Amino acid sequence: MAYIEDIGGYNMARLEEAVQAVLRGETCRYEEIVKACSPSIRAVLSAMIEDHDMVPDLVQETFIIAYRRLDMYEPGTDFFAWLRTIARNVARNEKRRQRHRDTPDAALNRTDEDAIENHVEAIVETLPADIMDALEDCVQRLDPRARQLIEAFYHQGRSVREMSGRFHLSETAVKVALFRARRAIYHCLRKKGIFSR
Amino acid sequence: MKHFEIILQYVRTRLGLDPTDAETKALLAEDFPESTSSDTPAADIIIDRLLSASGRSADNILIEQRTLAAIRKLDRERNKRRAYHFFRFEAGTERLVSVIAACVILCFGFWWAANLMLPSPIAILDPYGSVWILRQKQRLTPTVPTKLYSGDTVITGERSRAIIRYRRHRTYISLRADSRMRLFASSTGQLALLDTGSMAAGVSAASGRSHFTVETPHARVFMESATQFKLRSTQSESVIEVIEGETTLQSLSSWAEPIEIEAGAVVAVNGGRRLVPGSFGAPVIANVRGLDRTEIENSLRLGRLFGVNTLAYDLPLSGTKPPEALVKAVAEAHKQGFMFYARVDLKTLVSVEKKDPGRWIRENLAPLVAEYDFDGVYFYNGGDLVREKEIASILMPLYDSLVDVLPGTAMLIGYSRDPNA
Repeated sequence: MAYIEDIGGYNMARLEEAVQAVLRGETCRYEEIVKACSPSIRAVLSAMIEDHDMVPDLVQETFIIAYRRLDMYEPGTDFFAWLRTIARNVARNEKRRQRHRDTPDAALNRTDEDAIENHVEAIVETLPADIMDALEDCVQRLDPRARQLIEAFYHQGRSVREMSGRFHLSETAVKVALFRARRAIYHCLRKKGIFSR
Repeated sequence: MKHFEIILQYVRTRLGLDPTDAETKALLAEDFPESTSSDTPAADIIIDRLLSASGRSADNILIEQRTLAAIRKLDRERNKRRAYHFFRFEAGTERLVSVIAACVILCFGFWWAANLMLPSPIAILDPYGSVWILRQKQRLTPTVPTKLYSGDTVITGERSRAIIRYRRHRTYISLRADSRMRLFASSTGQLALLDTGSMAAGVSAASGRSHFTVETPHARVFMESATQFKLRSTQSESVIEVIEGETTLQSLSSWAEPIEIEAGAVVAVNGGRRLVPGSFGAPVIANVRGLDRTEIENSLRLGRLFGVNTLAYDLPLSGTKPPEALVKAVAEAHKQGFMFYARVDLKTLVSVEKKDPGRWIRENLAPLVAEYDFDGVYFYNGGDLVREKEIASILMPLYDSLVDVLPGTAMLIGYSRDPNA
């Protein structure tokens, strides 16, 4: 499987060369970096942030921070890993801001969720750059009924209640079926070497 | 069993399932065995979020565009700041050196462009006595060495002299008294037009490829090597005497061939005559300096030098007759080819004297114009340009009055200021 050696169809060597060019002053080459890395950075941020509407802003913030601090990047090391670290910090800061906005009751319930989110962060660190391609491949490998459920819920935006009527299942059964479909995707990804830390 | 509590919490709050429900119990038993770590809910959350993100793949292009727009804006701001910092005093030595170098280059560029655009002087004039320069309708009276530009006319008065030294080579012209010379320069050489008077010149060999030419109304003299010569130009002829070197002389008569003149030779040319300023038909007016013989002679001599072809005399408005000397002055002017006009201050006539102009013309002006043999009448308004319209409104009746009493007499109207100025 492809890791950052081939990000978004962009060769790692070319990415490194683009970084060098930007450092030399050819700032227009930064566009190539954004185009090559933004899907992967979006995946990292999507995995960490509950509110998907925030993700575009955070992707932008990540690339701006990277651009400002590009001279701190050590050429020849893993540029995508460096960029992902910035994205993770951006996501953490966003979560911190959200916590400040939480009510006291919500803050009390956060303890267990924080434990899970810590695991999420740890796993995100190991995610490859082409996680979205791998995910899509695993969705395609699901049995037809599970794939229908995933597409209806995630791609078509159907609610559990709508799906319950459409698939002639109880709402609980729909939730359980969705969970099992995700579980099947999880096992598929593990076979690809993802989530196997 | 902390992990299991976390999972139960996850099932309850995130998945929205009731752990006491039969289906949920089965799910917990099958998919969350006792050994399950808290990675399971974490992985489920990640997959759930990634699936949601994959359903919004159209966002990718929007995200790219927004990000690139933000980066470009950042670039512009950064460039502005760079420009500002570049010119700050705490800038490094290299920057300061760069700024100074840029300033020097810019200054040189401006100086070079200005040199190309502005006329450059061709010679220096040393005046001795009464010397004037005519430059773009201005008359200058130099008293110290002065730069001469292409197109300038140099005039010398009585017992006066002007030395003209060319800047690029050691050529000089000594313009004698009562002379008029125009100077021109081009990329191929220097040209001096001696309209009237006399000169002596020393042309340097250093003038090189650029030829030096002197023209009179009758002849053209070329110099290609070091030469000394004298040249005199009158109304009827031009005379050249070569003292040293050699020149080529060509008469301005169309049939004449150029001839070489060697040192010691004196040649006179009296062929075709070129028009010089002042010989044209349009009246160029100057006031006569006075009516005694010396003043009349001075007026005619200077008039010829300055291209004046018409003299004028200020006619008194009171009705008293001008002095008898005026008759002789007019005759002398006519004899030397000058016109002579009666000059009348229109403003005084209309405003101060409170006279009826038409009546005054019939009773006073017409007899005088006839008796003194004036060629015409010149009305001027005393330089009062503000009253131009008002004066224009009374000029036509005046013209009619004049034509009535003096048919064929010229009448000039001067809106301009006093011609003496």
